[in-house]
Amino acid sequence: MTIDAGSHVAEPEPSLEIRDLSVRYGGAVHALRGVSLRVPARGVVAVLGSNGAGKTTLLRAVSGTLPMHRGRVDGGEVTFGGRSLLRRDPADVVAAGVVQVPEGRRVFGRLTVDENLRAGAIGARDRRARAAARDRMYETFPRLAQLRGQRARLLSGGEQQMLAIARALMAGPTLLLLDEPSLGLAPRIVEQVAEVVGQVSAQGTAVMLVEQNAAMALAVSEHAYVLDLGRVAVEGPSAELSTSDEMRKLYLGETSGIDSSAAAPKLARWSG
Amino acid sequence: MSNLVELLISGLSLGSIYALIAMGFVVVFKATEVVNFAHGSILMLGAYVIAATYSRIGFPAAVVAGLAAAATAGLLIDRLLVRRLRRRTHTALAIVTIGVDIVLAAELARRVGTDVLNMGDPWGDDTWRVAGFTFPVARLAAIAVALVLIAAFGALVRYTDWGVAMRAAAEDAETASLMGIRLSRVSLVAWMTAGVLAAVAGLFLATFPSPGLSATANTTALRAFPAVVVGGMDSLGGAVVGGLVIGLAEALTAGYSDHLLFLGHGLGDVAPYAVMIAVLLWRPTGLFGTKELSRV
Repeated sequence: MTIDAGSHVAEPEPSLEIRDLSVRYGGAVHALRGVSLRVPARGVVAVLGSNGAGKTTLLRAVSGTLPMHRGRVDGGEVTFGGRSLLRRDPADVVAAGVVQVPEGRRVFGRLTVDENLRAGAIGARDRRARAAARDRMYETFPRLAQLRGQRARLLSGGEQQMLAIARALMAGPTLLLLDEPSLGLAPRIVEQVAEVVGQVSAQGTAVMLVEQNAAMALAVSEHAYVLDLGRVAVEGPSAELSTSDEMRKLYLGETSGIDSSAAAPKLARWSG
Repeated sequence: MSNLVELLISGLSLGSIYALIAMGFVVVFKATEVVNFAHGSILMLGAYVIAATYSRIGFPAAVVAGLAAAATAGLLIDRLLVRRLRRRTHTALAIVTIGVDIVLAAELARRVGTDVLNMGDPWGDDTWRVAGFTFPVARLAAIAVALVLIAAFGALVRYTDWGVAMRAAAEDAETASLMGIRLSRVSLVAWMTAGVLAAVAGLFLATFPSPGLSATANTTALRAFPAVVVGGMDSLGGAVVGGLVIGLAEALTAGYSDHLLFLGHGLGDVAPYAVMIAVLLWRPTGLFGTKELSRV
């Protein structure tokens, strides 16, 4: 990690740096208390944590949507490629190359699949680049190509998740933020999501994967952070965390016995 | 029979004007969730600028000036008020537009005074006779212009980037902004387009058979409100249907008022609201609306 920081000056590969970030809602509720984390220019970083740990707040702070929820950064810094992302319009964050896939997919249900993809690229001026991006999405997600004229609300949960990811990729992000992409999906579809995350990363886009599904997230990521009550409780290489006792105690809790037996075979399968 | 055909044309023409007003109202509501009570005054502003300038710069230039004035009013409301209060409740913004309406309407009423201003339109009270029917040219022009504008606006919403962005934002503003859509731009274009549509409607509301622009033109525009409610607050197609339904209801009840005297005089003025109440009893979100109106 520190070697990357050294090469940063010579070749500006943008990384996301979050330093000592604190966020409050409505001036009272402290959602984040001094969180620091780093997403390098390549690879997948997982952010784990239970409900209320601050995962979504962290993403809102990066994406610039805190004001829509009466949230406010009251300390710390978020930079991408050296430039601050704080107190900027969400569209500026997208223009800087950081795009979020929101939790619960939130595709535009009354728009067609095609229009959803178009909505993802409206920030980009160049029409030809847009058409090329759309063709690439239909190549990557052939199922979406079949459904292109369909209203998005008629798609299945898995199809909607793929559409949500494809829509975010339309803007050509250098960093993709994924908020709970496995939420509410069947195990088979979760596997597909994990595969897509791997592909996106392999094509050179950095990924920050926020998940409750620790087994899946640790399997596809290189590095992971565990948030608890608005702080980073644990961090380390994903391979180490997935076997660490401390991690099980803190994050997987009482069900650790069941989870570890369930997670082990899955990890083996997904890593292939 | 000839009476019926003439009334239908008159109703369609009135209805297409209401449709223009209703579309502007709906597009602002869709893009910003603001109920724009200043719409009637913006309409009157556009019409007033046409009436006040045509004798000096000619009718076509006056129309351009009127449209520009109404669009500018939309721009100012968006930039100075809506933007600043975006984080407040939509009720607060709706009340702000009532304030704007009162100020703008009072100033326009003061300028118009007790006069009835001529719009300087080339049709005047010309009529067109065809197969025994008599149609005022102004009414036909209203229908033709409204149809073109409805089609153009429909294409704008359906095919352009702004249209896709506006529909995405109407559905889920937060996600739209996460996709890089600038909500402030969506809002600005909505307010300006609404102003243009209102000004065109204002022009036709003040031409034949109306004697001209009077100090209360903004309240005439309020009759399009039932059209919005009938069609559904967030449906542009509904705005067109609602406008036509209300226009026809008004023209027909006024035209046949002699046969409806048992219901009293002035039924044409009441008909839009009667239709609105009937539709609401049947469908509380309007014919094509999806959102509940509790946020109003």
